[in-house]
Amino acid sequence: MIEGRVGQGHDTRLGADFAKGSGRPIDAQLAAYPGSCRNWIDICGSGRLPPEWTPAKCLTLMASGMEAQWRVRQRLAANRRLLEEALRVGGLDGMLLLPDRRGGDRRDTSPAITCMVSSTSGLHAVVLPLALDGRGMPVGLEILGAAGGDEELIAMAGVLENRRGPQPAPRPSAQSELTMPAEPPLDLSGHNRLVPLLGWQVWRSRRGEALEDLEQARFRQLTRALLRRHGSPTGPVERQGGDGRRSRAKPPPAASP
Amino acid sequence: MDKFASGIRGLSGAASRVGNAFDPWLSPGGSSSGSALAVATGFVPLALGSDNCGSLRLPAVCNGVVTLRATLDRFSSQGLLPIGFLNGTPGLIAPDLPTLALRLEVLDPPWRAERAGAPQDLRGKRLAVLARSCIRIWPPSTTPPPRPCGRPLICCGPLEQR
Repeated sequence: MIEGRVGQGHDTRLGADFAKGSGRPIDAQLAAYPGSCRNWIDICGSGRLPPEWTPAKCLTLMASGMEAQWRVRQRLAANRRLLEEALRVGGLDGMLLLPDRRGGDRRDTSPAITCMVSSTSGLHAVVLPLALDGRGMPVGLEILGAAGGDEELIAMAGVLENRRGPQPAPRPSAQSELTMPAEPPLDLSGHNRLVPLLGWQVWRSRRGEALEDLEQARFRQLTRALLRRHGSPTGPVERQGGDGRRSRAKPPPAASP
Repeated sequence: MDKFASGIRGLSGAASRVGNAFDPWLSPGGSSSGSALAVATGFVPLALGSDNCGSLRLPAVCNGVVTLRATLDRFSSQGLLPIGFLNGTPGLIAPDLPTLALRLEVLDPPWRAERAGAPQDLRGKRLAVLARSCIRIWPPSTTPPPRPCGRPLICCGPLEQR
């Protein structure tokens, strides 16, 4: 047993810091792309990030300097050294992680998920389905690789996949539901300026409802309520000019009486 | 996919949400939700995604397909926006490991497909099981924010493989 030896000092709070100092490289890359987001300030203020990413937090993280990135790199490397050392001392070829979040978990409770072990250490990991649970939903396994190649990890996981046998395919009924929506699409014509933000506006307007309740019918209900609140259609699509300035498309000529 | 690859719920701004391949009314995980769904339902044989904090692995697990989060910096993360400079890595989602082993060379030409696809013997291998973890995903949708748990991250015993 190597209990108590692995992970002491593992920095578990790296998640938010991975955005630190992203502003400048984002600007450099977005310059080559058309679209409504031209720089990192646009992204932070776009309203399209999850509600946890408040504009203020987003701006603070992305405006951090390069030294903040360097510190995050150091913390990530320290996590990696810890894990690699523990695996080496234990003579281990890999580590099996059962993801807490199984297929079909609709709850918005963000349970501890083991896949952050790889994210906060930079070690490679492969994921494969193991079986179906009692509800017919897939249950997966993650294998974290010890020091060595990504190729060897896939080869090792392949043995487990072979032993598992064929993985059941999704039920045909599920596929048909995917290709044939139960309801026709919402008519959003004339609401073009609203559409890009619609998802998160609806998400925010749920007022405490758990995400599991936000199924398609409820989502549509909230969307219709939002459209009613916005009243009349908002006009033609806004297009982004090549110089980065917004310009409103010309309205079609009015039909002569 | 989740907007700006910054969610794990499969929520899209304009198109509401993506369904799970096994049950459209359940979550597909995220953020590479559409990629995993398309592979799981057989629409495409391979799909591209990226992984900062589980964005390849969560939807793969939820939809019963396979993926690899490569060693950091093994594949170029150039162009992964808005974050991904520090811990992001691109990857592929495939229906099975032989397909994944063969096709990862599209991301990394020096990829050794023959080694990844080589049959292995588990005899002599030692694998540990992560028995307990206190790592929590950020940003949490519930308060309080994650704290260091003060316990060992991993408590495990090696599995002796025959």
